[in-house]
Amino acid sequence: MPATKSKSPVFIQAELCKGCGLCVYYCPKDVLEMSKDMNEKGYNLAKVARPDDCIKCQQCEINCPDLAITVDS
Amino acid sequence: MSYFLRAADHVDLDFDNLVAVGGVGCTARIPVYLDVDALHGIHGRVLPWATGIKLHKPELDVVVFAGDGGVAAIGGNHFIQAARRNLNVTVVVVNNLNFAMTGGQVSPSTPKGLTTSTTPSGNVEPSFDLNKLAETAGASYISRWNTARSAQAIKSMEEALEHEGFSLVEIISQCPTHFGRYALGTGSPTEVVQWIDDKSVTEKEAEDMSEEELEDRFVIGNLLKRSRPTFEGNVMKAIEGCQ
Repeated sequence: MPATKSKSPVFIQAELCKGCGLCVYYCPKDVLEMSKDMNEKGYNLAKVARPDDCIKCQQCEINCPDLAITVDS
Repeated sequence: MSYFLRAADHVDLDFDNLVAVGGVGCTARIPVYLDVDALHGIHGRVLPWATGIKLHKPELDVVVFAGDGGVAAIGGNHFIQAARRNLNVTVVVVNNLNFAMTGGQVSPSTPKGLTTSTTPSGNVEPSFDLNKLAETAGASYISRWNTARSAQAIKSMEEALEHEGFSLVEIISQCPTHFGRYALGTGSPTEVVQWIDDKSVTEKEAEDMSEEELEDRFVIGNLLKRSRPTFEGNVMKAIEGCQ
């Protein structure tokens, strides 16, 4: 499955996400939030809700336990 | 793992000259995921292996990944001896405060009073402070951070990788599956991270706090850095002396 692409600097690989919500917790600018979309394993995914607010601090990328997030820096 | 990879990248660690050692546990899978020479074996015996590797080929960098079960409980004595000898390895202890892989049993680092699957009415034992143990035993670099302070944790891992001697980096980490469920009554990773961070005090804050106040707290910071002769250096010198 290709990575979920948006115009945002944050890319979330849907098939790796397990919906733990840590990225949402760590984001200092509330860029991310949990969505109702599911991946094929049945986990609710994180989504990039406010891409314009992103300051590229990479906190979500560093703390994602499944290395599912990449931040374009 | 993410922290370690970033730290290794920042200090230009040569992965061709690296051996990652892990035992059995939640943390011990890390060497398996890395593209380096790795050793993965029985529970708690990570430091004897690291000692063997270092004595056979002292030029290799050795990083040990272990949990609180591996170094505080089953490998406790190995940990003390390795710290005493000042073996030149970096030990990353991911402390999730319980034996998580086997079902959330109480571990030596579980804070007093908390419920686990084997202490349904609360843990009666005070918890183990690994850093104080390592300091007394003779480790030469000691730091402790939690998963809510990733930047500091990465920085201290960089320092530990560059340090000559026994370097301990303890990361208090969340285990929502078992620790969260039994001890805190939540399965949410974010709530467990928040709980850990609320319980953490920096070294500076801890100076003004009494012993009772600090009893169920995690003191975080880069706690100790000193210079001592390393074990393999001493052994090589002794061998040269015999020849």
